[in-house]
Amino acid sequence: MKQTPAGKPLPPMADMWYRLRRNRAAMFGLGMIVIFILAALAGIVFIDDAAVFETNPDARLQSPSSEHIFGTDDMGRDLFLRVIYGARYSLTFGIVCTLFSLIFGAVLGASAAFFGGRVDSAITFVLDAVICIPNTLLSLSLVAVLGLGFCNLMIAITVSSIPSFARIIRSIVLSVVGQEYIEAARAIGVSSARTIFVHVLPNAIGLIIVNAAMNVSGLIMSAAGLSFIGMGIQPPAPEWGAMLSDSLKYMRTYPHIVIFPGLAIVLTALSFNLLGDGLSEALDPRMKE
Amino acid sequence: MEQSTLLEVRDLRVEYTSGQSVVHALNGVSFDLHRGETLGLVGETGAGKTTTALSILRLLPDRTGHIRSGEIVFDGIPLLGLNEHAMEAIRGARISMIFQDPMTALNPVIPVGKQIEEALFLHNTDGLPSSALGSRVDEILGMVGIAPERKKEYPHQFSGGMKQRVVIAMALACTPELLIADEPTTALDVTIQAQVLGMMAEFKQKLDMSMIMITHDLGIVAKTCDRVAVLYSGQIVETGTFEDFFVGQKHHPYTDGLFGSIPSLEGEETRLHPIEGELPDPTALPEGCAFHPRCPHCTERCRTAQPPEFKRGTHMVRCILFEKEEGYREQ
Repeated sequence: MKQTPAGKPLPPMADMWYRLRRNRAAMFGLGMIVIFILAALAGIVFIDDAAVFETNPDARLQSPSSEHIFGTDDMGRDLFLRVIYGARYSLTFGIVCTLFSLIFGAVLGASAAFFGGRVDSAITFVLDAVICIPNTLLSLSLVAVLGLGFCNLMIAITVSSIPSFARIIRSIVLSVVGQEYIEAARAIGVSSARTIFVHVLPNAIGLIIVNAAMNVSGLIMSAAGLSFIGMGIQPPAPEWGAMLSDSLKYMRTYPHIVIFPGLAIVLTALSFNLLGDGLSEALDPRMKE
Repeated sequence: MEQSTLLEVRDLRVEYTSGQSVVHALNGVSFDLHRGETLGLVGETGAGKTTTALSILRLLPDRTGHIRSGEIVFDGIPLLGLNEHAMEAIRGARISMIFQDPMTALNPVIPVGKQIEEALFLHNTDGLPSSALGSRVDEILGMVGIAPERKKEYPHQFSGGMKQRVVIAMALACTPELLIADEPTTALDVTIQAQVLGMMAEFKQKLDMSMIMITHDLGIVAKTCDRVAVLYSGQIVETGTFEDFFVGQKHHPYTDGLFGSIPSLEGEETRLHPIEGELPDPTALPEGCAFHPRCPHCTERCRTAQPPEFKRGTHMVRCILFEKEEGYREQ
């Protein structure tokens, strides 16, 4: 049993937070995520579109300086502002798409696990069929069918990540449903709906959060990837992936315009991964001293 | 003692299906439970004790467990005919169950007080305000010997014995008429066992409950039960009163085997005498008497024909050896 220095044992979620706080890598990830989110919000409030979209031929391809901290791109636009502005896309894709696929995945996975039998077979069959298609290929073909655009890209990314989520949640819920305290709850007269919401989900939520955090970084990468190959957000919008593919031809001569958006992608994805890792460690009972 | 019947189980047959094989868990179990009485349900692992308990609460696993035939009548209500909603109203309020392992029977993310309160909240037919439920929780915790201040703590902050007290408090919260205790002390160490059993006996008196004590420990039976039923391979092979078992000398060979495997404090014995062999495979029960492959008195007839029940007064034995026994009559 975990004891805080004060000697007071903690409830499970507080205990998880306590152990997460002592994991430096995870706290670095969490800090970076907070910074990125604040930057994205600041971008929405303070950066006007003109500074990001309008070209300025006099200031092309400038190296980082005190005036432009990240330098300027081939159209003379300030890279720092563009990277900050672009944070909104990646974070929205990562977080919102994860939330939606989490909701659909939870409904599918939890009902498969809880009701079992034919429901389980039907859901699992469909999921397995969809999982056979590689993620990128699936979202690519969805974009091709739905057409380009912010919303369509979100739908494509969400749909392609639902199956793996549903499968993970199914197995998590299955392991909780088998516990004796679920049977004990039934034995004091708890209905099946109440069992799911009051007894099963709170016990499964920790593991689900871990998987969601890991999923965010994957989705950020795949959104950037789709934009990179021109099937996502279109230039001149400063989506990080699109910025990368735009600036590839200047990579040898003016590396800074590739480095900064690339760094932004890597850092956000890494931060969510570190946080996810930390969460799963904090949840693992074997890690308790 | 008042002798009106609270629970009647008649010819209960339960099967578990898993893939191709069918597990015959209960093969015609019948017994009565009178009000205020404690019935000990004895048998080794796999004999069908827990299945009997789960059948009464209708909590057999949906997909695999099936009640094939039989009747369970509780206080005049045929439980097998009730819909799920009506059954939920009975579970916890009128029939409660204590589970074997207190370590796993409590929800780890809910404070213990809330878990006890949930039972009260679900069966709050009088529309009591939540403050009244809260004080009832304090009262119940006090009864099981836990300081009410600890109700905000989580299960992992309690020791095994304390957790079992919480489990008992949960089961007793709504003062049920029937308490099914499924090996309530198996997971506890011996000193705590005695405490918990003493406490349960006290509540049984105080709350005027009936109890089914499921156990494989004849010592516990001797300490707590008014009547005993011995389960073997999904059948009751012997029932009788406390006296029939612990004073009477004539028993089913299986019961003899159970008594024989208890070490004696008096005699000089170097070895225990376990029953040879093991429970028959419940997917392929032997023909004739289920116990015949292990029975030291096995005859040709035991191999082919199911033995009838022989009865004398309160004592029932399912064994053809009792054919010639004085006073025992075939039913």
